Amino acid sequence: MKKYLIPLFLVGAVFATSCESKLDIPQKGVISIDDFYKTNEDAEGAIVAAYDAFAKYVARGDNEYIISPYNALFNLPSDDIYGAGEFYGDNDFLGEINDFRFDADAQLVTDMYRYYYKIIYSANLVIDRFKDGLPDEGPTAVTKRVVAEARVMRAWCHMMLAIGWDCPPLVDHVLGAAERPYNCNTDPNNPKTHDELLEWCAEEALAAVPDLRERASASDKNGTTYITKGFANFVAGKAYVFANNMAAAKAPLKEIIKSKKYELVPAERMRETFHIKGEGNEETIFGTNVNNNPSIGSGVMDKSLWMHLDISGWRTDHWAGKPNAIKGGWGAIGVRQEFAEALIANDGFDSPRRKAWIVKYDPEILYDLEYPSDNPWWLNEKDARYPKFANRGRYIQKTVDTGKKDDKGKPIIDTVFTDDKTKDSQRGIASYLYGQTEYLENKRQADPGDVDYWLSTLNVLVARYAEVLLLYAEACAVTNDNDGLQYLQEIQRRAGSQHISSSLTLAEVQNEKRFEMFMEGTRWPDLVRWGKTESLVNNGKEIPYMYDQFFADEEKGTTPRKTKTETHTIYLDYTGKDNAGKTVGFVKGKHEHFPYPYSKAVAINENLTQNPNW
Amino acid sequence: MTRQFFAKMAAAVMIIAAGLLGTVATAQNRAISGTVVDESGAPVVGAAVIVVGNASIGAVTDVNGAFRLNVPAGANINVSCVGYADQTVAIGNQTNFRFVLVEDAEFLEETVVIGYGVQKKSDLSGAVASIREEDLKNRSTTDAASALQGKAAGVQILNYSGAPGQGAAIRVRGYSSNSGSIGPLLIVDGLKVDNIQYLDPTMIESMEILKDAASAAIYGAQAGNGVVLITTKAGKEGSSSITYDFKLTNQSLAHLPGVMNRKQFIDFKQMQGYNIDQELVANGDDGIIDTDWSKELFERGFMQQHSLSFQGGNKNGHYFVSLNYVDNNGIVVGNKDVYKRLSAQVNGDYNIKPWLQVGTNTSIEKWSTLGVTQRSETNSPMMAVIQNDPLTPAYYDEVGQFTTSMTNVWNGQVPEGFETYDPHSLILQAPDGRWYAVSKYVDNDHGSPLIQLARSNSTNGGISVRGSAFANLKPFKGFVFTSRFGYRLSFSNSHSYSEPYYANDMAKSDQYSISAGANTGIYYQWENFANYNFNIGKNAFTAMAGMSFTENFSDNVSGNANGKDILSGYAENFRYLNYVNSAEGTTKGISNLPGHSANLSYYGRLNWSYDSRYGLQANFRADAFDSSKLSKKSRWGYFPSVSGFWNISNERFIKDNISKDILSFLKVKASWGVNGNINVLSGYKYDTTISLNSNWYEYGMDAQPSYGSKPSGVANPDLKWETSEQLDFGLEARFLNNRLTFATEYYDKNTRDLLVDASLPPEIGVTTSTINAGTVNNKGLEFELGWKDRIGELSYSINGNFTWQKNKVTYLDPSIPRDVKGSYYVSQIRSAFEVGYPIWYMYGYQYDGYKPETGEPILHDFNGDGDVTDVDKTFIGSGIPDYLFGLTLNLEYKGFDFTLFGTGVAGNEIFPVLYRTDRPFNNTLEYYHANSWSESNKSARFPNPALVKNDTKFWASSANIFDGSYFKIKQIQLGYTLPARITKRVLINNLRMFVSLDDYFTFTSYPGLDPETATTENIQQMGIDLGTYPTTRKVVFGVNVTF
Repeated sequence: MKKYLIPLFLVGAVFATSCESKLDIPQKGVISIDDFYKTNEDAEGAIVAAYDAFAKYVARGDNEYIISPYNALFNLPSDDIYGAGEFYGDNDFLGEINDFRFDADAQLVTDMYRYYYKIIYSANLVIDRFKDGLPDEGPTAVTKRVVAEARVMRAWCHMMLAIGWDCPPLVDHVLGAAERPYNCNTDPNNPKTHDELLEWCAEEALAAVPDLRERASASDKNGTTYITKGFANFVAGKAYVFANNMAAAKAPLKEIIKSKKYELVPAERMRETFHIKGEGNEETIFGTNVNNNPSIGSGVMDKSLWMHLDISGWRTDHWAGKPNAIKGGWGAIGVRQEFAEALIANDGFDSPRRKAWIVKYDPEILYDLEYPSDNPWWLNEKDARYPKFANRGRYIQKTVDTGKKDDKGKPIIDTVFTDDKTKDSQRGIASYLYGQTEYLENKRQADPGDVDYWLSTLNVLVARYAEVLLLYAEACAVTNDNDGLQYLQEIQRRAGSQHISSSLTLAEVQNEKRFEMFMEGTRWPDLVRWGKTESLVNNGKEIPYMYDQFFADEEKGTTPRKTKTETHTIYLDYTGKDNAGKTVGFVKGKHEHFPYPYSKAVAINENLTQNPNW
Repeated sequence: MTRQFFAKMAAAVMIIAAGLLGTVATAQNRAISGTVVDESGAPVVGAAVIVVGNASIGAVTDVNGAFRLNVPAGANINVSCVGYADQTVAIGNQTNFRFVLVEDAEFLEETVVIGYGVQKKSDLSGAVASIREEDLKNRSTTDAASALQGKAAGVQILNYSGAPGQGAAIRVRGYSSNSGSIGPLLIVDGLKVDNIQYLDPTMIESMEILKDAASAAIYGAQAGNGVVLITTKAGKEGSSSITYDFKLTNQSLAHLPGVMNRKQFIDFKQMQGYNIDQELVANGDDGIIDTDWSKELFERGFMQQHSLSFQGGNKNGHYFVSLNYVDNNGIVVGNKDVYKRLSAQVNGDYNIKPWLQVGTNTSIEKWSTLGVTQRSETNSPMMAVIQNDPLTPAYYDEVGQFTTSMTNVWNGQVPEGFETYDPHSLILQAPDGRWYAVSKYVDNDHGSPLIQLARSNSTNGGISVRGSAFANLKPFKGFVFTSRFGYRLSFSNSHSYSEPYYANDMAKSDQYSISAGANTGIYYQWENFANYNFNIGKNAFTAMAGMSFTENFSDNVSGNANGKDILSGYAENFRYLNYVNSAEGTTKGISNLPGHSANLSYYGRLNWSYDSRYGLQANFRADAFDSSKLSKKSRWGYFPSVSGFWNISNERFIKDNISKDILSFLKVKASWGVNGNINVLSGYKYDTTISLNSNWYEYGMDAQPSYGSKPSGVANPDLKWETSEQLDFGLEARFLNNRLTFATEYYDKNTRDLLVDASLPPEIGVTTSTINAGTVNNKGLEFELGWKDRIGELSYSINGNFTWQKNKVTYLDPSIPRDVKGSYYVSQIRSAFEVGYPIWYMYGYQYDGYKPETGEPILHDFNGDGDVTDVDKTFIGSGIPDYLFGLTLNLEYKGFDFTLFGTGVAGNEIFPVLYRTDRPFNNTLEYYHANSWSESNKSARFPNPALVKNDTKFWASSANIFDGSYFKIKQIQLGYTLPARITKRVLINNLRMFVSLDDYFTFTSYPGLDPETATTENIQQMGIDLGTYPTTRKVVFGVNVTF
């Protein structure tokens, strides 16, 4: 029997041996979550990740937006611009918002909703892990600061969510994958109304102020690239205003004013604030920063305004000639005629603000800019014999080749007649411009200086001082505090406006904010807040096409360009039926807020209640 | 080895009966005693010794094979034991007997290999397809998987490509995952292998495909897509022999691609609205040129296969040694598509002691391949052969014939980036000094198929050793303990090199590039299991229990460099990484990441059968995988199965009433079981870690980036493998004295817990998380029908199999309406995974015909919004066939033998992406020309070509769906075996010569290259034809010699 024992022993030995420990194979090239969030360095790293998310999701997102989704989402549903492009349907992710014909799966709405919560998630990682300081040492200067910055970041996101969606879920800690959050007002544990959510945002921001850095001075550019006391006070003030708690709003806003760390830039530089040369200027409170760092390589795209230069550029490929200094682009934003006319009526045609914000096609673009056709092709500006001609205005002295040559064999050039630019076929709208009027957008129109690297590393402006002054003025107006008037007037004077308010009323503030904050995403939330949404009901019903009758071709008879004219004559056609059969325009009781994304949120979260009528 | 093993097991069937019952009857008269042993002298336990004519008098041998019995005088006694031939002797005056039982050859033929054991075929309760050596003989394929094609119902073999050295993929009972990992588990001689391409079909004794869950359940978490068990040949006892097989194959293009010739092309360009006459004049057309690019690209290729085997054995041991050599130079011109393989198989076993057998199976392979690009929209000769226009010659004889841009380059006007090169070197020259021609009419990204071929310089090669060593301990009858150590060692190297060139503005490269890589793989498995057979009365039991532990290590090092001047010299002997320079413009890359995985399993089986009439079997396996696949808390999985059979023909009421000549055999069976698919899990999917320093932000206007970190996602420690649950019902019958065989099976298989990247609610802040949330159902009916008979000296057999299968996604996480994959430059066709449809169906626009007057296409606007957009895409086809079938006819007459073998599929669709919407001037299928709307043909299938010239939506519509059904005659073989009386004179036992036409005839309506290969290799883009190396048609001459 001995021979049986050997195998039986073997069998037993094998079954008794466990190799299970050999199944533990560590992962390469990573560190575990539990080994991170330990030191001050980790805290710095964690807040960098949060800034990374902030910068990425307001500039470009993970869907590779060609325009800042943050700017676009709140800008488009307004009464002063059109979502335009080459033709109807081009850039429709913008057009559908402007026309109020988007549905609960609209791409821009869905993405920006997601993006705010992505920033919140990154901020919550910092707060959850460091709110009690380091695991061993407790709070340190670093942990206090990074937690404060993350709290403001989180508050700002919730504020924007509340403004856009009314009662979005309040997410004040990192959620697990299985959690299905409630709207803040239906949360069974800690219900908060819309106003209470905004007040929570304000309180969070205020609570962070003591631990934050302060901008050194109005010339401290770096102090606008991270979250400061100034930005925290801005978030608190704006959140209180939107919570309609005007009394509470005044203190943090006034705090910013009193700090003297911010100033309005002079009128001639006011357009700069929206371009690279004005990054971090006196007026800037916070903008997510991106530099041209070769060490990052193409990763710079992540936080850049990517194709900002193209999308905001004028649609010059539909023009008969392109002005020399203009880059040209896809013309995605059009200015409404009534806005332009109201601005001119308020400010006066020559106000620096009007010029910075919008440009009149005729004459400023058509004749005041330099076109290639202004000069014979061989004219060499560097040649001292041929001084640069003054070519502003409708007429130009044109030089021509006399056909003769001097003794050195060079052609003899003479100024023989003045040419009438109004009859120049090398300029003007050759075909048409969709969604544009006599006034073209200039505020965010690409600046030659915005070309940095091979894309635009323009920072995304999140808060500027002018908005602080207007919010403060409004809070004062509502609370009958005349302290705000001086700041309203400061805005008006800086703009070079011919209208200076003599008394502080809500109407005066509303009027001023419409012009000053043009294309900065405040118009639609303000109209909703003020209950003045009438101007939005016709959105999408009459979208203009702009033609130049100089190029009208009666023979073809296919376009409503009217009669061909001898000189450039702009004609706006509002009769297009682009949205025929579609429901467009602001609907009361529905469009005060964005819908919660249907497929991405409502459909997979039974706790989330859709906004009314969506 | 397995036959031996089973014989031992079966010999001990009644061991317990012996213990319990001892002597079952005692009678008067004579007392006899004796022992029963097998041929090796080992005691046969549980053999029945009974008196003939009086079954009540009998005994059963004990553990020493001994028996005692009182028998009537003059009686005959019969000794029987399962697995051995019966013996009957007259007792006469003898009182002590020694019976040597001989293994029953017929019985052994009917065993099949199952996991960790063998089983009598008639006692099988699961669905196991068994392919024998005879079915694999004399095939020209070099790949074991490919040899399976058409031989078994429910098994689909996908020959993704006809290129030399391309292995086939196996699908067992449908497609059960959304991932690409749906191949079966492959086990060769007990060793788990990663492919069976190394295995020459001549080395294979049998292949068993465990199709149902109950059969496969013993392999647990790895068996969800079926299991293929391969047994290589063993030496045969008492018949040493030397066999030499030789095959010479001449191969050529089987199915000429239906592309347009000159006349058709010119006509189609007119239909597309091109002013082709003007183009012809402008480009100096001579009015004659009509290039057939397939004639330029393809030639006749030769393949030679040699196989030399030695085998033999005695009662103590067996050996099998085989050497194989394959040299396949494919049908692409020149030597750019070559597969070479030298392999050896060494199998041996030896009985050291009656209770100890040891053995080894070892396979050694040395391989190398040189391949051409295929299945690619760009830079692929297989795509270029379809798309290059017939108005362009293959070569330019002189510089004056060059295209404008080639001339410019030649004259030094090079595009940006090429300034540093000698302009003449950029225009590629054929070996005969002519220049490769490119189209003057249209730039495409191939330039010319010949240019893409000339540029391709990549080689792969390596050595693999796969083997196992085992010991079988047989301490007493019926009990075998096996300890087996298996291993795989693989070493491979790859090299590639390419130079700058200029063909046109799209097909060009301004850089040199070179790369090389070395891969090492070490895998081992250690398995210990015991089988124990015993009987209680007519109840036969087999119990098996075991464990296995496997570990897999991989390591790789690769390097590459590219740039405008990267080597110290460019002659052929400098094209190695060692000669890469350190110039500033030389970009270098290196990589290395070792991999490690492990698996621990326990498994067991209990099998009961009663009187060969009923049987039940239960399997169980517990599997645990390493932490790269599953979290510690959910690493263990449990896989049970049960199955049963009822052998109705063994029932008395059948036996007594129906003659064996009419109903020879009838069995019904059913099984249920659970299997898994672990291949979908790897790379710590369940875990989340810190992505170290992968975030950055710049604090300040001119600041350098500060780096930061955060988790890479949200962890899902509950992640588990895909689980398949399968029901199977089967019926097997033989009629007319076993001449007519029939088998059918029905299966219904639900694969759950597919891994999907589910969208999380946005408020979580993390977009997706990998979760288990998808289910696929596969069901099917399988039929096998065979007839075997003899008419005089003509013996013949005909066997057919037929499968109907249906595949449907039945559940997907609600956060994913559908998963969409694939993207192409020229078509919006996609593949989608969605509830209610077959997996990865073709997702495109529905073509509603065209307006007859204009030929303007109409695509269905499902949501009625007036626009046909992405949301109007729908199901337009599936690459999964509904039917599979195979047919084999064998004839033998005197020395002649004849085989006709065909196989096919039906009910699948092919979507060719062979038309370039961005380059509509390219050539394409003649079918589009012949079937397009024109003023004179307003009832064609396709709309007005001028209106869809650039229409990526139309070219993603159901208009472009083709029936992928085909039937291929895989083999027509005629052989002649010289009479032994002649060959014996030169000491040859057997000499057979044959000629065969392989893959010769294809019946299909598909107008592309080859319907069988017209798909991507990626299961997630099934049926999308991007131009694949077609299956070749082969004329094979062969000789089989046995000494």
